[in-house]
Amino acid sequence: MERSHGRGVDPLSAGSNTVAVQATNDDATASKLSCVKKGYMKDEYVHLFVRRPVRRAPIINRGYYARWAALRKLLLQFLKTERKTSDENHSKKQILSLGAGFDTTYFQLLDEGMAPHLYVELDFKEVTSKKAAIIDHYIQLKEKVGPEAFISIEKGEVLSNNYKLLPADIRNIQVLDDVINRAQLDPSLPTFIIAECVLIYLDPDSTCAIVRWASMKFPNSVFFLYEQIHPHDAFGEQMIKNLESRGCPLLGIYATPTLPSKEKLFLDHGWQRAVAWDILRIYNDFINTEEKHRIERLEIFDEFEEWYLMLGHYCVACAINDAEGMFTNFGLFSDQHSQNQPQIADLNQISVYPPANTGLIIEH
Amino acid sequence: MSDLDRQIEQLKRCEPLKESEVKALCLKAMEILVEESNVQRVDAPVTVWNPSQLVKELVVDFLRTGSLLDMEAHLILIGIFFLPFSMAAIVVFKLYNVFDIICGDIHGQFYDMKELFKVGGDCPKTNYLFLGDFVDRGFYSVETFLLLLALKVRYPDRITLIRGNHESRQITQVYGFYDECLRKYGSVNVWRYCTDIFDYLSLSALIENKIFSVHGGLSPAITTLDQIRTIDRKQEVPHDGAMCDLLWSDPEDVDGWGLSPRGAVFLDRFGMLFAVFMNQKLHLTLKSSISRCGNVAAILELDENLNKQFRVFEAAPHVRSYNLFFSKFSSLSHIVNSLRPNLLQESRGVPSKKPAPDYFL
Repeated sequence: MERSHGRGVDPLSAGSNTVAVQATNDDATASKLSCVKKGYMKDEYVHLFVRRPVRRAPIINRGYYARWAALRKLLLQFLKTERKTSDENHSKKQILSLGAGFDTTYFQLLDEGMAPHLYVELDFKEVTSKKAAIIDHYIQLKEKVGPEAFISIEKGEVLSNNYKLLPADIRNIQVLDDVINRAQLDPSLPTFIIAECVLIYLDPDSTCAIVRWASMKFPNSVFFLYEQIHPHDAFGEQMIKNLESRGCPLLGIYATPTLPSKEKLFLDHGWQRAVAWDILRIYNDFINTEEKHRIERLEIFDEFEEWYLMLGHYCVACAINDAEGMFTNFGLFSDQHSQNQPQIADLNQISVYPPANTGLIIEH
Repeated sequence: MSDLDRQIEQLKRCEPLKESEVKALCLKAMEILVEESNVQRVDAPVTVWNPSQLVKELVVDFLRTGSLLDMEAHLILIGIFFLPFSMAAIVVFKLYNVFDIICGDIHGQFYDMKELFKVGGDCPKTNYLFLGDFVDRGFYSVETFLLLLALKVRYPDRITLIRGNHESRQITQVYGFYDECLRKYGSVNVWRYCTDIFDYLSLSALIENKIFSVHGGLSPAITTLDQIRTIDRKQEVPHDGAMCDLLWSDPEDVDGWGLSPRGAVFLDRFGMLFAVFMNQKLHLTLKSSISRCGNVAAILELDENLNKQFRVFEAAPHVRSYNLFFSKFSSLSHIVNSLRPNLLQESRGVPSKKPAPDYFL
């Protein structure tokens, strides 16, 4: 397997093509819009990034909801966590999103009054150019970044006080450092780093380098990783093949194929704590029970076997550097109501009853 | 050749009928289905074809006495596992000897169903019972269901169709049949005709007065067959209650349902045997997203000592092998006829049109 070394980075390794990897952003964005249209979550902006809306199968909608809900819950936890210092910066927080694509979290948080002091998004220039163009084009987005924002579609940059979109090949650590400076990220401030289905497309060396870099750089930080696991069972093998044939192979999965290995990735590279849960556990234990009841009524659902399979092949890993001791109570904990819920992790416990109100028209 | 025969030949070529023909076919089918009971009786010819005399004797015994107590391994194959590469399928089915072929979910996989007829024998030569879920997920729900319906009209005593949870207006709007009708006909009329006829499909079958077959499972609301008979089935699948349960539920490993500690399942509820095949250690079934879950084709084999063995079928050498992957297997239903649609369809001269499956990317 080819290795990429920082500078003069070769194209992504054999079988992987940059365009296809970048296209995963379009896929994810369309999927998120599919959820939004069905009422799984609110997002007034994602539709601006999708040229041709598609309706995804209920399993995809539900799965993207789980992903969104997990990240949102951790983000809000992070944003509400108070520092122990009392200087003028004590309430300032930062979010750094690696491979952000067309993610709209910044705009959603703004609407909720929860936007952090600084939100930085990085991606390939081809992607950030498109994003910059869309932000520039739509007043709903443009007004959110503020009148003093500098937008360059050509460079793929949006620079405002509280939001920065910058092009970067994150496999290049020097570029990462440069971009942090340009974005005026203060490494001492609490920072939430997001890598949502991003690192898995990179070769393992690059991933380790990025994880190590982040640990050394940000002493009060959370690293949120969402990606695939278990390549070696039947479902995993088929998933690997299917993604390979789309040109976006999961180059990183064999180096970290299990939950413990995801945790080890962080612990071995300077992070103080790391916990990884698969999405089935996240869905059952972490996501708010009332919310689950709400979304389970949105669509008729008949894909349970596959649901368990799919969710079992994705995970969230949450790593923490806690120099100041502010993150003692932060992380993946069971939702307070979840203890009373049956664990539906066992295929033997499928019970398949359609929800009462599926919102479909019964035509006669 | 009558119109109906011509239509059958056309459907066998995977060509959909005209909208007017669909309407007429559904009306004819309605006349037949309306006469059928919620618990449709199926009497099958008893033919035993198996090299093993011992097995033959045991099966005949079972039929005579209704008892499986003497059987070491309580496995009776009731579902069909789709096997394009082996004739062992025939062996196992005919071992059972009550019913020639009982088929689980087809889910619009027309070419797999065609292979099924090839391996099992054409209707009416072979007697068939289909356990529902004819539509959704696959790309040829229209042709699949219409062929089965046409065969039902043509040979009403040689093929039995019962209703699955996908034979419903609601779920077909989500899982593909509605979209397919719209795409193939430019209107939803065919979908309407089909979903109307779904209402007439029987809810269950009773084979040789001994074996109760249903798509989903049983219901806490049902303790006798007569209770099933009193259901007014001519309606959209309800959200709860007995009719819903019959189509939607899955059996569970609970003692109350007569699960023997050996892993067999008897359900001695109606003074008869309700035999399902289940092995607690094995998980069978992938839902129909074949291309996401990989191919699964398996057969349950019984040797002369009735030891059971699951065999995963290697395809032809140039085709990659696959792992058997199981999940919970319900009473004769939610069985997956999963195959590698791309490869198999190509090998049958059918270009694969299936797009890449969705993941979280």
